[in-house]
Amino acid sequence: MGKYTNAEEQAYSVFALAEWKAEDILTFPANYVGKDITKDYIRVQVIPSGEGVNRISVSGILMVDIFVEAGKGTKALTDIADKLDLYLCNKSFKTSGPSVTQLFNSSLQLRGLDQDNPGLYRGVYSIPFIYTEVPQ
Amino acid sequence: MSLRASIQQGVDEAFDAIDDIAKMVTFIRKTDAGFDFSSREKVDPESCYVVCKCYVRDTEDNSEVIKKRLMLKTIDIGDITAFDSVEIDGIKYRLGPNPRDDSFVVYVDVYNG
Repeated sequence: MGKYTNAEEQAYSVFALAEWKAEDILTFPANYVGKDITKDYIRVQVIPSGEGVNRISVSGILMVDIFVEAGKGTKALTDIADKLDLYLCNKSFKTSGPSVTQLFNSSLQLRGLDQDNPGLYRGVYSIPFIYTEVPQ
Repeated sequence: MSLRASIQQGVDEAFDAIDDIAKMVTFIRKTDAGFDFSSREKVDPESCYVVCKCYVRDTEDNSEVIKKRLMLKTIDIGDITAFDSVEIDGIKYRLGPNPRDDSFVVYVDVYNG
């Protein structure tokens, strides 16, 4: 597989963990169409937009949109961001082969009411990453 | 007869009157089954089907995309946003965004591919 696929696979691997599933936070990727979401949820996307240390490596940002019920303050949103930190901040992920995805420190932006659904309040949790693969 | 019942009767009569101009189409609803982050694929949902009478108001074909505007009775379909696609004459179309529903008639655009 190529660097983009591998970086996504490694970044997504955390959301496949039983521990993350036990947190009971609905988690979807970008470009997912779902129905009847009635609770807080997050939308994850890997943006491999930066340079890597070699041609088969890449850096970028793991962005997580956090959607919580509007009108009830930001506690639910920051709670989810803190949980994401537990699983992502300063962690490294490795699936198979001579490659690793390293995540750094995170940040959180509060974006206000969601444009598509004003019943939701949206925050953006982002964390830079570097995917590094050693040429064979 | 209440005003609502009166309007519904008018809508029913209109749909009866268009007779064979209308088509029987199949709306397909997929139960949301989530996303598997280990395989990075959407989990195969279960489908259910609703057949209903539908009037195809017009068709736009720009050689890449065929768009059809559909009109159907709300009472036949219920919540149109619960459906993903529709099969018309054996061809599957995706439901477009922002369907309109005045609680008697649903207007929705569908796209092939």
